[in-house]
Amino acid sequence: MNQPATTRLVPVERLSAITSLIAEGAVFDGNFHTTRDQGIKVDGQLKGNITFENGGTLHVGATGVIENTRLEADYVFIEGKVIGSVIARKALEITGSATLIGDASYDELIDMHPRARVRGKIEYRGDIDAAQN
Amino acid sequence: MLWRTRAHPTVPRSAPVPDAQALRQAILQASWRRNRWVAQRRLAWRWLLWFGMRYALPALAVAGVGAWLWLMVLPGTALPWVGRAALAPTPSSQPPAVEATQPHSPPALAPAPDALLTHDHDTDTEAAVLYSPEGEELPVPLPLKFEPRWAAAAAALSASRTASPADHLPVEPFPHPTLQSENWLHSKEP
Repeated sequence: MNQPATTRLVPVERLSAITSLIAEGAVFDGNFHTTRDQGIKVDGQLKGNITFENGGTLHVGATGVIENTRLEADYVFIEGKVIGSVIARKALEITGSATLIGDASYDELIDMHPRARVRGKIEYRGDIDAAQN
Repeated sequence: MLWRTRAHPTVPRSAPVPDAQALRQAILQASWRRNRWVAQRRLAWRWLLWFGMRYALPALAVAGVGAWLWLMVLPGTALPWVGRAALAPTPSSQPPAVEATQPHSPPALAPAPDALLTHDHDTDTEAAVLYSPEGEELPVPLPLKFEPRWAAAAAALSASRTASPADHLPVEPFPHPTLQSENWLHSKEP
């Protein structure tokens, strides 16, 4: 299997460029912060914040659980469970196996698959008037 | 001594150490494989749950209510209805049958006036009899009650009529009731 999960919005190249991984069964308690355009995939459990100041790709796997967090990246691809707020500066994709409990904000694109479970507010942070035109 | 001998390492020293890129690719591919299986299983379960709550559960509820009505309510209401219909014949069905047999049966014996006036319920009753035009008794299957004094009175009346030859009238001992006038009891004509 040389391909990541099927995506409709987040480019596969971004998911293939993941540089960090929290493996399934691992528990990471703390914050993840970087200024580079990197990526992280969470298959285990994370209690803390993830912040990409420039660029960044966040992939929450189907077995991943992130709690009490504030996630911020250019591309956010959620297949697992996230409890907290999510900020996607470019694209936010929530698959049908995902569960998001919290608010989500995005600047450009959003894609929510059928059977996705979201309990929270979805906010578009761009200019509404400019989007209509 | 064996415990002082150096064990040979299982990993040869000349094996190349995997670089970070290869290690990252191997880990990512393993993660994708595992991730795909878990995501598909969870998504299928969610679709199945939605379909069950949306369609299967109402269908099962309707089927259950239908089965309950069929097994519990309908037999309870249909059985007494069938029993009543089978055991209790409708009263309107029998009288026409009796009326249908009456024209074919011989005319019943007309009771004498004194017998009608002195009717006693305590006397023993016997099966009603009919008389042919020749005067012979005929058994009648009708469940009519007949008292013996009526026969005696009728015999006396017929004897008195036959004793007077001046009349020469073909007096029938028991005329047909349909041919009798309604006031024949009070008529003074013979």
